[in-house]
Amino acid sequence: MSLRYLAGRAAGMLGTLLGVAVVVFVVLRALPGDTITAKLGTQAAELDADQRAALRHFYGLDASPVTQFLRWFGGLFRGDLGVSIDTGVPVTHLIGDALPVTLELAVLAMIIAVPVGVLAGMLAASRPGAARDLSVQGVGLLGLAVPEFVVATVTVAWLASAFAYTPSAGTFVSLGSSFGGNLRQMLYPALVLGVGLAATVMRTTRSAYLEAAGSDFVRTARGKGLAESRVRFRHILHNAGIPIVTMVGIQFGYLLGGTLVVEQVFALPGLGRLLLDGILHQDYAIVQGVTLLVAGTFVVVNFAVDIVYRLLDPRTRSEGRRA
Amino acid sequence: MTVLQIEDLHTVVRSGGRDLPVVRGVSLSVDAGEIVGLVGESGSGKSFTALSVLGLLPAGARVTSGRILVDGEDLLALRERDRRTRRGGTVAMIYQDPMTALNPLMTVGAQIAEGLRAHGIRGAEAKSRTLAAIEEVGLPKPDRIARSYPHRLSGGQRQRVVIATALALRPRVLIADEPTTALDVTIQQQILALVDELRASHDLAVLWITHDLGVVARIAARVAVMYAGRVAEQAGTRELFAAPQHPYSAALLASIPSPTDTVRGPLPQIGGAPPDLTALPPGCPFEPRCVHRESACAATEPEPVRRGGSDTACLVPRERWS
Amino acid sequence: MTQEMPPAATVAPVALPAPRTAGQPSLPRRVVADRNGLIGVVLIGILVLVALASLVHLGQDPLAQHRTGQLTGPSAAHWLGTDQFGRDIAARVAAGIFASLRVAVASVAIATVVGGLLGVLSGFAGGVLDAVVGRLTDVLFAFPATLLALALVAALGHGWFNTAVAIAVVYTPIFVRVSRGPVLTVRESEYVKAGQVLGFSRSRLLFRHVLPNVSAPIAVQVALALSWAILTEAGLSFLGLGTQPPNPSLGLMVSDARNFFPDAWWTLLFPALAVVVAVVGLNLLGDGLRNALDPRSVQR
Repeated sequence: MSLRYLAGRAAGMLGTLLGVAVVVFVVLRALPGDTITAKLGTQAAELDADQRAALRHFYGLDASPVTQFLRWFGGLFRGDLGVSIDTGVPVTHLIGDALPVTLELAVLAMIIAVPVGVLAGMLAASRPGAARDLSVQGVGLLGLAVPEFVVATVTVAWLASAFAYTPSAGTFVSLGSSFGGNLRQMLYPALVLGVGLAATVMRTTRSAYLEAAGSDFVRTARGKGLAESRVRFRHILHNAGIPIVTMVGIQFGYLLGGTLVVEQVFALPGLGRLLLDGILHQDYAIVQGVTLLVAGTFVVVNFAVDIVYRLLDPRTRSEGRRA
Repeated sequence: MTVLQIEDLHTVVRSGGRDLPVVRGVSLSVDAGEIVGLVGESGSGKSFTALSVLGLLPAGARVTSGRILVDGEDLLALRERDRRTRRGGTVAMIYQDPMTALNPLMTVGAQIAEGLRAHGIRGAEAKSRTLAAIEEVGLPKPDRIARSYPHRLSGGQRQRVVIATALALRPRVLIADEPTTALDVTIQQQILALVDELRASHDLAVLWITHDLGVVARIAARVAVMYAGRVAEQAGTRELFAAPQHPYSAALLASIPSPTDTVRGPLPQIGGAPPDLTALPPGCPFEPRCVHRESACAATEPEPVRRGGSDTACLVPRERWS
Repeated sequence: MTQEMPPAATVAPVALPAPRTAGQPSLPRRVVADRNGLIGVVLIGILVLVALASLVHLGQDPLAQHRTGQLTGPSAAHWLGTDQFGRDIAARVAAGIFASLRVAVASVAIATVVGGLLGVLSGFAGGVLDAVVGRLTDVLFAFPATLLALALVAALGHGWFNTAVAIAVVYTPIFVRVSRGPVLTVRESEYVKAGQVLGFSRSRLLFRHVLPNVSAPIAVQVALALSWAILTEAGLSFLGLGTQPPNPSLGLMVSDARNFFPDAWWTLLFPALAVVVAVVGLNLLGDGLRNALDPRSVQR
């Protein structure tokens, strides 16, 4: 992979990040209308013109939209995402508390879902059209079709009736304070997240595996007298691995913005809960900050996936003279 | 000395709920140091014959009867585990398209060594034999080739690597599935020469599958012509080219452009369509397309007979051909 | 779900996809001939009928509360039981399906028309328009879909149409991409160049050659987009960001049912089932469309 390619991709990524910031600004600052009305609600009607102007000046709303954007954008580089209108706490602090929870949830869900999805996909692809293939595919389709909020709701209800578990009972135990206690709280939500994820990974694995299994080099490998397990893992799965890695990377990016339902149902103080509270309380600084963070991370993760993809494949890893 | 002996091999493919006969009673033998050409159109069963020998039939295909002997040992009677060690170990194969026959994600050396390790050769010995195999197929700087990924090599180099992979384990039988068709003409000649050289030095029994009679004339001592899952004619290459005893072989030979042809007319073609394996006629499968057919041909499928130095599955002797 | 075929029997000559000609059965016929497509059509047909039935109030009033008969199981009077306010679940599920379909159809219609037009125009015109549309598409793709929908709902506010617009914005870039690709191919193809040489107008070429080629991939994408829209609408409603009570919505019903599950299982099962049936049906329909439009796709 040439430095030139890397530089080009990185420049493209920075451009996209800038675009993301503009969209977030436009959608969440321009569209919701008057922040002061949003903040003060009915009290806003009692303000006189001077007070209103003073407030507008205080929040920087009297400047032109471009100036406002530049101020906000400049703040990003100083780690300033504004303060929560509700509580006055800096948004970066709120995110700092919430991010580890969501990250842990996403990583756990991946740890659960990726092996299950890959093995199920291999199982299905090993005999296409056979009973095992159809049943794996059927379960996979259900895994995608049953909404996460249904799986989450049923899981919580079942835990409540079977173990008298209630998500709101007791406060959140962080990973740092008690590993076991934290895992007990995180395991079920991660499992719920893993259902849809495993189904997606399964489908990708299945089609990538089928494609690789039909390659000539697989016949060559068998022709050498290799054990079937070595043919399957070293040759077929390895070659199917590139689309699988890509899919897993993208899904991880999605997960950071997609833990909302699970965090809500299981009462976990992650990014999703923060975002949802921000939306429900019309606390736009929070919504803006979380959206920007998640979308930005998503862009960076996609960039990383593209690079990893190229490093995995010797055909794109390096150029140079032929042997 | 006979190394590979195929006796009355029958192979079917499961399709649409019934078994389609793709190989119908093929018998063949290849001696040590001999190249036998297996010629036929696509769908004639030549590839299924080869894959049956290797035990690499695709899903849905299986051998129903017959024997495949290598040095007197019936491969079909082996347990799957032993069968696997014969693959690569005693019977190896080289393939049509060298661009796709190698794993793009593994170095060439790793792919050769992996075959050696699967047969119990490990460590330093695996490494030295890998390099020796690469050197033997005429590639320069074996060290460097071994560390290369396939995409760095040219088509001819890759085909040499495929051959090195196949021969690293010193097999007794080499099945060559049209290994030159995907290559440039000059490279083709080099590969043909290389296989011929290795045949002699390794005393290999080579079964060379092709649809190209020109290649057969150049390399094979004997030829078996397949049609509709059977061997239509089997003869020494010289005999076959001089006086084919089966109308199908004759038609194939007539469709080769010869440099000595003075008449620049259109090449003769074989009329009609290849046989439909789902609905074979009761008689000779070539009868519907045959220009020399007689009334008896449609009645029963002819068994091979010895005639004019050939084994031919035809009822009509050459003298009666119209 | 794509349906894999068993490995092709190598002997039989491989049938190449025949070019579509006038003699071939129409697209709906071919979709129904596909097993997945048929199941999809049947499932979606049932849902549409149920939604229409709710519109003409064939069943009970979905909003009528009853002091007695709260949380009763399925019975002759209430086929699917009642909720905590004694409201008829069957009527509420039917009305919820209608609400879901309304958002889904509206959002996908907007996304298809806007995205499809932008894609075709930018592909055909090239130049600055193409560059601007392409950049905008890239930026919208940079957002995780659910997050973008959430942010838009947060900005636009509640209400079914706002939800539809939010979902439409998320899906528009996909339709831009899906329709732009074929346009580029067609634009560079010989017959369009020949047409230009012959002096046909650009718009005529656009309609005669580009649209038929673009419609196939769009049709498949529409089915998938509808399924995603239904899931998203239900999810937003579940979180309290979509349809507002007391109006019936499948997501909200599941959310309400939390406290009564598993004892009053019917309060959760039936709305959840409606979402699942819709998503499965649309996915199968999408498969059917894909297979009907491109026989080669059956292989993979």
